[in-house]
Amino acid sequence: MGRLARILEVSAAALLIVLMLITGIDVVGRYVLNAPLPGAFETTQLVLAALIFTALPLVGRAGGHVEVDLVAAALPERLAHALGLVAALLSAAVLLFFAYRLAVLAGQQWEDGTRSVSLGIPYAPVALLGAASATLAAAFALRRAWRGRRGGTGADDPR
Amino acid sequence: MTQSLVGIAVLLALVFARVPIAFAMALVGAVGFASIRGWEATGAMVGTTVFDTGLAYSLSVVPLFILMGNVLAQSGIAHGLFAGADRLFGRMRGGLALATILSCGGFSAVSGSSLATAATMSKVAMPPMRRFGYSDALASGSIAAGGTLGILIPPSVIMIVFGLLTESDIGKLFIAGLLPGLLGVALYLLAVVVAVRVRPDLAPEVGGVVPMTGRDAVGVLGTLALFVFIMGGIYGNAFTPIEAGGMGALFALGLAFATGGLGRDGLRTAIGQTVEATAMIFAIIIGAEIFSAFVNFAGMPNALVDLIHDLDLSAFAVIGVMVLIYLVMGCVFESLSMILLTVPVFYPVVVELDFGNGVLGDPESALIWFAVIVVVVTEISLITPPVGMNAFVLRSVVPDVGLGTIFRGILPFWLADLVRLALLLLFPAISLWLVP
Repeated sequence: MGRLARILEVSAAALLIVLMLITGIDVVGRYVLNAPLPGAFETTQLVLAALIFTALPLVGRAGGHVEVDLVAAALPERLAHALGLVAALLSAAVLLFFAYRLAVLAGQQWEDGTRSVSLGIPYAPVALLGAASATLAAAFALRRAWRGRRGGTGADDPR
Repeated sequence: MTQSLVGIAVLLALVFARVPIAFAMALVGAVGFASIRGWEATGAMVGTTVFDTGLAYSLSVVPLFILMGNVLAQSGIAHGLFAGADRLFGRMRGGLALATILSCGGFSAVSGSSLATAATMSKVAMPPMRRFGYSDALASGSIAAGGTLGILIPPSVIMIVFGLLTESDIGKLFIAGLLPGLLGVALYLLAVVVAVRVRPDLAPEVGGVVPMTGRDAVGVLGTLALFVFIMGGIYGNAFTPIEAGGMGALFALGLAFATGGLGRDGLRTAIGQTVEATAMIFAIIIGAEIFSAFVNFAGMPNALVDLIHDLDLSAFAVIGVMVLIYLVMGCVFESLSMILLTVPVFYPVVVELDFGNGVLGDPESALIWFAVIVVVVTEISLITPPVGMNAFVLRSVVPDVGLGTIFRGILPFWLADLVRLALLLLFPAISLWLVP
């Protein structure tokens, strides 16, 4: 799965830069050239959604979600490991529920033909990307728990 | 109300069982919501919440402000700020600690993340302080505490989130944070002066010892220019507070390239960290929204408003209780999830409170003042044991300093924070003075 993660990393980085450039071009265009970027608002929305869905599996993979491990740190290692497995199962269940509901939403949007207002970009692929991303994030979470790596120090926060 | 309280209890249990806070909130929120509205409605709510949060235009500012901070962190500008501040304090006792506070304030103002500030400044300020014989406690304490200063000084990601939750004017929230933020810097400086007066062994009398290069000077001026650019742009209506994120990130990139401090690897690290932090924060936001949907449907905010009416509490007593709740929660919760969980419940209460005819007379002013109080309490939570996150960041950068030492060093600053909180509670005008 290392190659998959690499693809996600590069795509997310590209989306982040695009997100920044949209604002820059829009603002500079508005003031200097008197020509704002058409559809900047909804392009920002869609790129943001794509960025988040692309990046979501990476966080779980790196163990970057915010956790409180005050209790777990005090437990014997085997018990802490078991607790970590339960926590990962619950996380994966939540992520799979996200994936399922996003897929349902994508189906509805596809049938209704829901599109963005000014550029007419269909929403369904974005929701489908979200569903795929949440599924992958669940898989990463389970794999990580199974290998039993410890998730950083107490209440670790990568910001 | 009972359902909400059960939900909160289960949430705490899950969080202590090391379920990531984001998923614990989503799980309890979804199950709780389903217990009221059934699973079909819950499924629809969860699907649209995840999708709509991803597409939330206003939240686009979050990754971009984080990128701005990470670019600055990688660019070596922090060293320039530290060297500049060190010149300012000359040979005063504790000069390097004073310089740490001032440069932390300056750096965190433009980075918007207290953890990034603590991580960056500890690499810059810790080595010289140790080399010149500062106690580990004072050195690490001043960095951990100094890192908290920036969440109040605009631009501030936390203030943006507060503004979105309460539909307040983000520009007004930013300007309201300025004076209380500077008050925080002043009180921290005072805390250093008092600490080294009481215990002269904490710091030797050296100063002006950090060499300052031309590149450092450019970094200092550039950081000032970035701050002026963002605030001027927002208040001059050149761009919105949301667009300020993208513009700030572009400015920071330009600045970093201009000073030659940002290489390929630095840029890659900055972007990689930003991407991960963004997804992590959005996971928390999604979880908190699902949890809030449950708590709102269970009628918690209304029940609280009614309860306060029944108890006939004075407005300031209610605020006092809320502050206590934040201080206790802050011992365990991460700052963003704490704000996302509490503000949707508390702000309808704050708007309803009767503060008399003073500066807090209208609900909008009361809400802005409340925002400042909430952020200050959040800053305090970042350095409060046992889970003061800034202390943990410092520990990971300087592993040979114990947590106990760091928290001991934090104590004077923690006391200074309590003084600031009291001042802001007693004199709301400090927060509202600059607000138009």
